[in-house]
Amino acid sequence: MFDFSRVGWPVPPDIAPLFTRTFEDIASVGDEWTGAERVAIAQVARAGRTADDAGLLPNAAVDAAALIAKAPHTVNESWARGTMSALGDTRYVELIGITAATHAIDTITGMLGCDIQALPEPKSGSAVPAADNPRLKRRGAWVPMDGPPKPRFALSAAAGTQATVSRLVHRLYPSVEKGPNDGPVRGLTREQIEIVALKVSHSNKCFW
Amino acid sequence: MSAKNNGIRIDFLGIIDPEVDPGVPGGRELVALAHAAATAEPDPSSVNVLVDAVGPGPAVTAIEIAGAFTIINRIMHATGCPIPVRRLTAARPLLELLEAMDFPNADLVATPKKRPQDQLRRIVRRLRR
Repeated sequence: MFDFSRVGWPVPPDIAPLFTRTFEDIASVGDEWTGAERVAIAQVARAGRTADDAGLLPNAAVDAAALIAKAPHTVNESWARGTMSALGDTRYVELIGITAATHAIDTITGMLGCDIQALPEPKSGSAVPAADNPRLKRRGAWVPMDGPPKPRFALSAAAGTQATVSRLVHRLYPSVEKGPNDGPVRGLTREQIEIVALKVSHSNKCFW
Repeated sequence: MSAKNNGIRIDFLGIIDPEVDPGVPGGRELVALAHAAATAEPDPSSVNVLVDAVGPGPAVTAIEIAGAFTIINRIMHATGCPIPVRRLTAARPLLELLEAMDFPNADLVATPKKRPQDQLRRIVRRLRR
């Protein structure tokens, strides 16, 4: 599906399969959204509110995917809680993961000079919501989490989506698991990596 | 922090002021690429400039990391995940330098949980066994 072999720079060979797998996950039955709904969320994240041609999604989901993709810094607690009331906590969290992953893959693909990849055909089937998890609590965040309010638990209310997104993030940013004195990562020093991370976050007005 | 440990002094003003060199190889070009990746319509021309500065392999790595942080930023904004107070305290000088204390969710701070005294006593008793 993804093919970076014609890019003029050395793209690691595991990136294309990783992106392919992520899109296939998005097109599969999720934690609570169906495959078709998840693809619709990704399409809205990519192209905005008008992209939900089939009207598969409730308005709150369309608004959320569009906003989180294009202007995430404008999300506030009141809006988030209103959206969770409309969609449900797990669906909201799942939507965040799909939106963020799609946007990142499109960004990387575009920066590599390639056309964005079409989303796969959604797989059929209905989601089977997981059994209630007594560990899910709002531990200082707006969404319930299965652990302390830290990034690695942020999507834990939608465990399947959390796994998909974590796999993507940990491959793209391996420094997450490395110590501060480890050597270069694929040609960049730790300081160079920090510069990139800091600027992206600053540009996105993100406190993290 | 890693920069201090390795004897490299990053000039963090370079994050917000293009006139300032961040002090790492390809620093200005990395900042430009990172900003391009965060915009609504990423401009791939910044990648060519970065390739000239650091080489093609490291430039691709920079793209990957920028992509990762577009994910992390969106998740943090949308979930309202608070920043731990210890981390905020340690990072405050940098955050103030970067004018980040004005960011939308800068007031989301996770304070350590205050445990009731009886709970603390139970924990201590368990540890003593």
